[in-house]
Amino acid sequence: MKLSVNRVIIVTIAAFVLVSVTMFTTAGHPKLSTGPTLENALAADQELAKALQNNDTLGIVRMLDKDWAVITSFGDTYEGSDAYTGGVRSGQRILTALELTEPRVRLFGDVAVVTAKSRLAILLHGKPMEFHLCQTDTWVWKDGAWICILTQESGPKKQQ
Amino acid sequence: MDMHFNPGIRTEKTTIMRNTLVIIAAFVLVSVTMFATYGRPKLSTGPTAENALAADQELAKALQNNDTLVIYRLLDKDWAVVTTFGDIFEGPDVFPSGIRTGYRTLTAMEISEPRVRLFGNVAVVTTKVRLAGQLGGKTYDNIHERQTDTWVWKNGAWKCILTHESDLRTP
Repeated sequence: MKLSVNRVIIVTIAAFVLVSVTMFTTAGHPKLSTGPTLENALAADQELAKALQNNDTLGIVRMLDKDWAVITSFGDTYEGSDAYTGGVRSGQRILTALELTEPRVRLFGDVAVVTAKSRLAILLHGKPMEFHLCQTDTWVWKDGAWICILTQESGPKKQQ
Repeated sequence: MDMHFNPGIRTEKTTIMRNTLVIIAAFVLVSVTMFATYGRPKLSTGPTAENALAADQELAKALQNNDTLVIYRLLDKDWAVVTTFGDIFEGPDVFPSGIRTGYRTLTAMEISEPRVRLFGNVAVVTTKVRLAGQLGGKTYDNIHERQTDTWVWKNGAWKCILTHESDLRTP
């Protein structure tokens, strides 16, 4: 009788621990279990844009692959997640706005390409500048989350 | 005596026919395999940085040669191009239709300085591009761009899903 009671207590504790661990690991990542979708690819892109706009270096680094690169609208290539964050930390390149509109999102299994128009307001060496570009972020689904592997910019947008 | 009713001869005939069929089937199988892999020696190796670059070079060559069939074959049905001006054109027939109507033809497409990155079944190939040709009857020479082709490995081959072009300010 005593043995059965102990067994029930152990099973109950184990169940609580399992539920708690599951809740803890998915906290803040509500869609982790859904796999790659158009919706969470777009959400990742918007999250990266928000991190860039807020000059949130940790948020930026977290979303970029270690092998990430950006090709600017002038055709220059900068490699590594520190390409943005280095400018933020040194104060040479501070964003004041990054607005994405008209997103085109395409999903190919565990890869997504998100192309959008962007309005970029920036303080470059303290001088305010504004750009209207078209950019593509290429995302790869890794370990239950989207990671950006490449950003390419074009523009300025031709006036219609 | 009717030969057709001799069970020994019938068995021998059946065996010969069976062997003949097996030999024919083997020849057909070998021929089909050789035909399917002709010109694509690395199809069975899976996605690599090398065959991603080779696919990119094949696409550039097809574009330079205005080879509509090869262009179409290498592009995904959901492919799009983002131009240096930020315009988006969708569908694998964008370039072939321009070639067919004579609106857009190339005389040169040279790619150099490739940067290839492989992420499982996806590859991004960024290259420096020099273009020459004509657009709407107006010839152009030495247009320089930096472009990225994004490739996805599908059914044993690379398919381009997006081309994004940026103007190259300093060629």
